[in-house]
Amino acid sequence: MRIIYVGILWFFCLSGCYGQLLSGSLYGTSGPTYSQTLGDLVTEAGEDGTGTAYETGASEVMLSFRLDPGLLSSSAQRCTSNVYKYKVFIHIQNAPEGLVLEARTFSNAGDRYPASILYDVLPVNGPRDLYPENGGDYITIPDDETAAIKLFEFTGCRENIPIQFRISASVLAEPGASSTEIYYTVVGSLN
Amino acid sequence: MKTTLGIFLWMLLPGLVWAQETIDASDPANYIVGGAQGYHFLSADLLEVQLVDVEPEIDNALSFEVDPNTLEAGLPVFSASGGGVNEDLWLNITSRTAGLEKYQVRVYGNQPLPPEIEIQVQVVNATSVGGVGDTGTASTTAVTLSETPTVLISDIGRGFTTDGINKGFQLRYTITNLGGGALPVGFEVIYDMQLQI
Repeated sequence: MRIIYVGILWFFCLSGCYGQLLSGSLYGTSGPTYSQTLGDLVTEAGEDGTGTAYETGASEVMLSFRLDPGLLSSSAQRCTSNVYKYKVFIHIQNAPEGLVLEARTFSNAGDRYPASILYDVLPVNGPRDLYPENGGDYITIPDDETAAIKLFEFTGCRENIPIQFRISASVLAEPGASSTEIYYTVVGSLN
Repeated sequence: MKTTLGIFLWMLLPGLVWAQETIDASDPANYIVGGAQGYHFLSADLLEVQLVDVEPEIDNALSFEVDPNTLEAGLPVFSASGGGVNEDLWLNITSRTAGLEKYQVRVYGNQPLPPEIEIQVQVVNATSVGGVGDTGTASTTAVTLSETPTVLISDIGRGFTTDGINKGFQLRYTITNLGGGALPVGFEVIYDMQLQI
């Protein structure tokens, strides 16, 4: 039976594994929101506000990455027969001075897409899992598009990847409403 | 010897030069084939904050005790040169202001002083000792304490002095007590921050 599986996998690999990376798309929910309250404010005169941080819900933001459908194949079909590796980098732009934003995800967070495929029987390109950077601890997001930092990597298409944020603001940051762009850059590779 | 040092440094390098992986996300060539890029917004709404306190924080009460060594018949019990000076207290400030708004620190007493007692408050240093940002500029001229607020520090924007003694603005209190009287019970020196107009 295993020989048959290997044969089938070999067939899929011939059609996908050694070709050029197929195009994919990143999908995400709306970004996090933070409305500072008195409880989040610095309380000791002389101190900065960065010592008090607000943490969003563990799954306030969800990301998904799927291969684009082709003329004759759906996204699910393509994700079934083409299993690539992906690294996800993150950076912010136009953040107010003094705003510190950190992000993290969790070990093997999110869902495989499709949930189960033949590849999983013999994962020649590694299991379709997710590996957070920094052991799943928070990573400070750089406000520099030329130095986006790696947040996690995963294999195969994946859905509902939760991103949690921690936000702190120096008193140097302008009060009032602001919008900071959070960029996710997905880099694919064959293996 | 050089070879030994080289080997030693080589052994240390893996621990010293490790850095988190980064990428130039402004270059589409890094993600255009098989990757993707997307963004959404962090919507943040930050509050203004103005804090001022007097350090040391646990007990910042001042007492001017009579020093028997300075007593001299014919001179007041307290005078500016007779032990009635204290420089132990420091003002710490944290401030986040909107736009170009500036705040000022004022000082006043919570009740009138007896006529024979005069207290002068002076900021020793014109700018904060330590701190970051726009912590304001102090007038180093001594002011006589009364129930009417008097400005000590002006042009405070967004900044913080850092916390504790020897941080921020040092205060000099000078008490003149010609009659050797006592301050009224519950007498307090109050510092506040107010929007500068």
